Amino acid sequence: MSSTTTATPSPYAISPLLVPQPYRVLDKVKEGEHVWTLHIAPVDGALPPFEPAQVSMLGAFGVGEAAISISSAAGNSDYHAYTIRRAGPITNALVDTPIGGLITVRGPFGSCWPLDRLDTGALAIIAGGLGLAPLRAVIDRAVHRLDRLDRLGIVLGAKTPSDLIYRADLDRWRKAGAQVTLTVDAGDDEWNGSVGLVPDLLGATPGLDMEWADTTAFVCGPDVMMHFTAVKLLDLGVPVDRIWMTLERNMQCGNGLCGHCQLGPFIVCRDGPVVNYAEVAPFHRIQEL
Amino acid sequence: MLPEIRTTQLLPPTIIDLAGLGSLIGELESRGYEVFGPQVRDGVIAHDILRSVDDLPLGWTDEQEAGRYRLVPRRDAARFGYAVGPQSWKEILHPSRTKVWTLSKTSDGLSVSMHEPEAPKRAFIGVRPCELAAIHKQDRVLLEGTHPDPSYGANREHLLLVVVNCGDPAATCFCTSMDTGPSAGPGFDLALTELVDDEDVRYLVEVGSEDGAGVLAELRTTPATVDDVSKARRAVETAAEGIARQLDTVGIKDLLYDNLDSPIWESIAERCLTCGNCTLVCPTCFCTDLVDVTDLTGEHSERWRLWDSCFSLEYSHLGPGPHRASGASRYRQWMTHKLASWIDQFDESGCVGCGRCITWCPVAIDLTAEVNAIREGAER
Repeated sequence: MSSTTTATPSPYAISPLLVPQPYRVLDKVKEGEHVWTLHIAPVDGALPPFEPAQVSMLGAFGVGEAAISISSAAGNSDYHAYTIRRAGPITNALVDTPIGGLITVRGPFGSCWPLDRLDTGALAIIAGGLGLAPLRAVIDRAVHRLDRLDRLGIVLGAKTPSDLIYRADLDRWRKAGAQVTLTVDAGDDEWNGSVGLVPDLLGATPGLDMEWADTTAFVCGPDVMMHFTAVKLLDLGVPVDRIWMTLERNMQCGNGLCGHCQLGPFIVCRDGPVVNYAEVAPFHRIQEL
Repeated sequence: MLPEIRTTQLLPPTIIDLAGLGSLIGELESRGYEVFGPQVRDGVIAHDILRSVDDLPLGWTDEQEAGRYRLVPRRDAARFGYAVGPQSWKEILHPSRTKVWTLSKTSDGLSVSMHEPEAPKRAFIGVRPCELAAIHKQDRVLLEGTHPDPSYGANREHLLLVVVNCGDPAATCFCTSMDTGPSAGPGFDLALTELVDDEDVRYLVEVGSEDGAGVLAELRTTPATVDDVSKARRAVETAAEGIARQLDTVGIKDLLYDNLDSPIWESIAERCLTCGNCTLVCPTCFCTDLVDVTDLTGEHSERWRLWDSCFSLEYSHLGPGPHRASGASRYRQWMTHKLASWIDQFDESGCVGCGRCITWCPVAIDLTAEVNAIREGAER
């Protein structure tokens, strides 16, 4: 065996997106029984810029990382907001981090909503449950320049009224001139809104009706909800390439290296999470792909 | 692919004998390389540190079929008279376990220490043409994207590749379908073709790089005669003719995309154990899992990167549970990624036709046969 083996450092610099940055939890907002929004800021340095729908890997010390989309209001330079549902050890540990405690962040990365669509025609924002989180920043942008749009319609569905997140924002957006329609799978005694599935509210009264042929739709929610929403939007006459959705898959590295977040040809952390329906439809319709 | 010996522009082909091959190992060592090469280990031909030509698998070949691998003696003195063993070079270049970082709790926060990989000097002798192609496919995935992988980049930096063209492919090989063999494409430093004459072996050497030329210049060589070159050409031609297994790749991406909801996946799943052996032996499968481990004090947490497999349930984990719960969906992910979506993602196929997934499948699933079945179903 060689005794003269030599080595030099890797010629490839470590991408900043591979390096976890310590962030402090500044505040925690309870959104629902199992859902919290964490407000966080870097321990050192400035808050990095982000585009609406981008994702970061949030890490809990010794437990692991989960991919969460940034849901901060646009223009907030004090903190980033991440809305997290308790779904396992990592998200539990993140939610259980006390105010003042530390988590790690890698990101943000990924594609954003096509912001040029905020300047023309009508915009339908359609969300299921926590799917509103990656849409929050883009809704804020749209609301701030509502004069450029013919119409802004927002449809949010949730399992129960207590699962509707961002209640204060919903009121604010409604007052600013957006048409906000809420629906739940099952109401309670105080619920006087719609009961039923999101796609059934599109093109319906009560519900959301617009000039569909001139509408752009941003959709985020569970795969099944997004599938039936897209099918309904096509039925109503929305052009297929005006439908955009955010994909959720098992992101781990966030750098297109680990392979986990594939959907057919898409490596979601690299090519998404926002994708055009015209491109993803042949793959999105296939179960378990 | 028309088998041919590629005479490079750098130098005309030359000949080294067995002693010359020994000198090659010594010369690489003296240049600081850790030299790896094929040798018999645990009933297979594996890669390990090569100290001399005596370590090479003298007089062995491998018989392979779907779900079957046996070493059997040869009647000649070939050192490279086999096809491929279960190990691919990714075990060294993209190892199954790599440290990524250490997080430590400090009095006022958290310190982050990234593992900074060193780039070792290594030389691989006996890389098969299909394996050379596989290394280039992993290069594309792990180094040529927006965020190169520094660990893989370190292992790749000073790597010297001595290819040995294939003279005796196995029944599971289908490199001719994937255009990766049995003679080497570009990207090697040196390429050898073993010329076997009963007890005598010699090697026709082609040079593919300045590094390769530099090493070769230190060895005792003789010019290759016209007869040597034609012998070498005949060896790879014979190898190509011996490859019976075929994978028809014409339109394969659309074929598989059009059959994502075909009943074939269920029929494969009835046999598939979802063990993931095919992904472990595949020289291009690159997927990794990230795992955090704390020490006993709870003050330090290490992140390790481990090989993962799209056949595991955890691979597709999402909040509500695994996205690909059925075995059919997991096999479909593996095969369609390898042969179809890889083309969209990385502009080339993810398969090199080495046949390892066929040989090492415990229930003898043969992806070439399954693709043929899909094609026949589509044509019906």
